[in-house]
This record gives sequence, structure tokens and C-alpha cells, in this order.
Amino acid sequence: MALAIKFLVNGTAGKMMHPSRIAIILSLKKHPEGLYVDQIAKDIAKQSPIHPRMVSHHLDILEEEGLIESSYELAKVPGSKRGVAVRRCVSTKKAEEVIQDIKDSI
Amino acid sequence: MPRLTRLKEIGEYIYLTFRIRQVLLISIVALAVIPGMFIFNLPREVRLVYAYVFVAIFYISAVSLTNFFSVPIVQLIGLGLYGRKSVTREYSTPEIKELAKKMGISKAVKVYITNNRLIRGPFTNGFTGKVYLTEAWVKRFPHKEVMATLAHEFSHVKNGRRFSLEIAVVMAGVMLVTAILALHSIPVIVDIAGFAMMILMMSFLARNNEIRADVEAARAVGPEALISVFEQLKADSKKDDGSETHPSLRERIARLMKMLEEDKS
Repeated sequence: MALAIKFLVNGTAGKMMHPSRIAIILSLKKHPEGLYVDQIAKDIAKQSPIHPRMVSHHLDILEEEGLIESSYELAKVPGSKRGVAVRRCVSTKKAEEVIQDIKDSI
Repeated sequence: MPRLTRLKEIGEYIYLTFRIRQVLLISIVALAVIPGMFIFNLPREVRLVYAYVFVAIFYISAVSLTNFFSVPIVQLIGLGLYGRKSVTREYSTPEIKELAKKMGISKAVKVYITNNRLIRGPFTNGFTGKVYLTEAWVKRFPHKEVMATLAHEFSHVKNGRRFSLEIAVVMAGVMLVTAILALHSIPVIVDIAGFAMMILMMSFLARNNEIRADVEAARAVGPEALISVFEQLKADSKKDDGSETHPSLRERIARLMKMLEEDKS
């Protein structure tokens, strides 16, 4: 409970409670191996369509808050010899703590 | 407290959506122009029915007036009444100065953060050109989104004079139309029609001003942050049909999404 108050007071929980950001976190939680931006957009689109640039924006904010970690890598894409730079994202333990604490406080 | 709850319930029951309010105002103007100009030629009974209908629509649509002025007036009263009781501090960073410069504002813009309880969201004081953000807003939204909000408000600062000029031109137009109408109708109809036209036109200009601010902010900082702010506000609010001063969040998001789609960079 004390943790929930901590995340509510410092604003982390509030920033995560955006409808798209919470959907991104839940999507990443389902895929512990990590997802690319386009994959996240496709995964969330099952509930509500989202533009990949909006996903990138939300990922930047989640990363600032320490709720996800991301790294850039080269992915093989049909038609490209060198591959394409992609951003692989995984949710952090802090994200799970915040979700759990929001649930507890409700 | 129960009395307040009851009042709130009544308020929700008689709530008219923005579209209905617009239709009522348009019908006032239409009624004033078409049968109103021939009022002297109408039979006495028809004239009486016409007067009742006209006044009834006027009273119902008067709610538009309160909607139009309530938010800015409450905020200005809030600044006056709670100005000393609340804590208001200047918020100035090189990033804010850079943003103002990027948006083409030559003079120094003053940004304040306040915990004034009558100020619900960010707003620009049209008289002083000062921008106010609430503490809750700054705490709740990520830095990027606070900057997008500021870009929107800076557009209001930048276009303040243009907006005043637009209002002046529209007022002159409304006065001209009412003067022509006055030659053919009775004063009460002319006055009410003039009032309805004024609200309609000011509403059109105010909503246009908001759209312009959204577009300019999106050009300065990208549309993503502003879309995100609107999505959050939409998720929080029960009603989203817009007002006399602001288009609905759905419309604003759709417009910015179009910009995002068109921007291939």
C-alpha cells in the first residue's frame, strides 16, 4: 500500500494510466521476449487502432519513467539486404509493481 | 450538500448538447429573418404563437451564453479572488523560451504554475498574455506533453490580436445585419436575433482559434504529444460534445491524426 501511495504521489502511476500506455504495458507484459514498435501497434490494434508514431511517443514516456527498457537492433525484413533498425521494448519490474499497486489501491 | 447534488442532477437532466444549442440559435436567426420580417403582415393569432415560440427558443438557448462566458470568467475571477491565497510561481526554462521563439513570439512570454483551485486547466489570459498552468497538470502529464500544451497556449498569445480583430470584424457584420433587420421588424426580435448571431459567430471564431492553436502547436512540437493529452482528457471526461469555445476532443484528435498521417518525416 505504501508503494501505491509512492507511485501515486510521484506521478508515475498517473502517467501510466493513459489508455494507450496501459495497453502498451499490458501488451509487453504478455510478451516477455520484447516487441518492436510495429508489433506493439498491431497487438494493441486488436482493441483500438493506434499509429506507430503514437506508440513511439508513449514508449519514450514509459522509458523516461523507467517502466520499459528499449534497445535498437537490426531486424531482417523481406526485400532488405542489410535489415532495418528496430526498437525492441520490454516492460520492467517497476511497471509490474505499479500495476500491482494500482490494483491494490483500487 | 444534498441540495447541491439535486441541483447537479437537474443540471444534467436539462443539459443540451452543443449541436442542439447551435440548432436553437440558428432557428432564432431563421425565425427572426423569415417570419420576423413580415411580422406586421401576419394575423394577430399567428403573431402571438410566433412570439411565444421565439421567446421560448431564446430562453432555452440562453444556456449557450453561460457556456460561452462561464469558463473564461470563472478563471479570471479565480485569478482575482484566489490570486493571493494560491501559490503562483513563474515557470521559465531555456526550453520554454526556445519554444516561444520557434513559434514566432517576439516578446517574452510569462508562464506561471498555480495551485489556484478555480483554474481547472491551462489557459492564456487574453488581457495580459500570461500563460497559466496548474500544478496538477504539470505533475500529471509528462514533460513532452506539458510542452505541447504550452505550444498550444503560445499560439493563443501569438494570435491574440488577430483573434480580437476577427471578433471586431464579425461584430461589425452582425451589427450591419441587425440594422437591416431593424428596418423590417420589431426591436425585441432584432435584439434577440442579434444576440443569437453574435453567439453563433463568436463560437465559430473561438472554435476556429482553438483549431489554429492545435495546428500551430503540432507544427512546433509534433502532433503526438497533443493527441496523447487529448486522449487522456477524453478518457477522463463523461461528455465530449464540445462547447461554444472548444471543438470536441474527438474532432481535435481526428484533425491531429490527419496531420500525423500526412507527415511522413
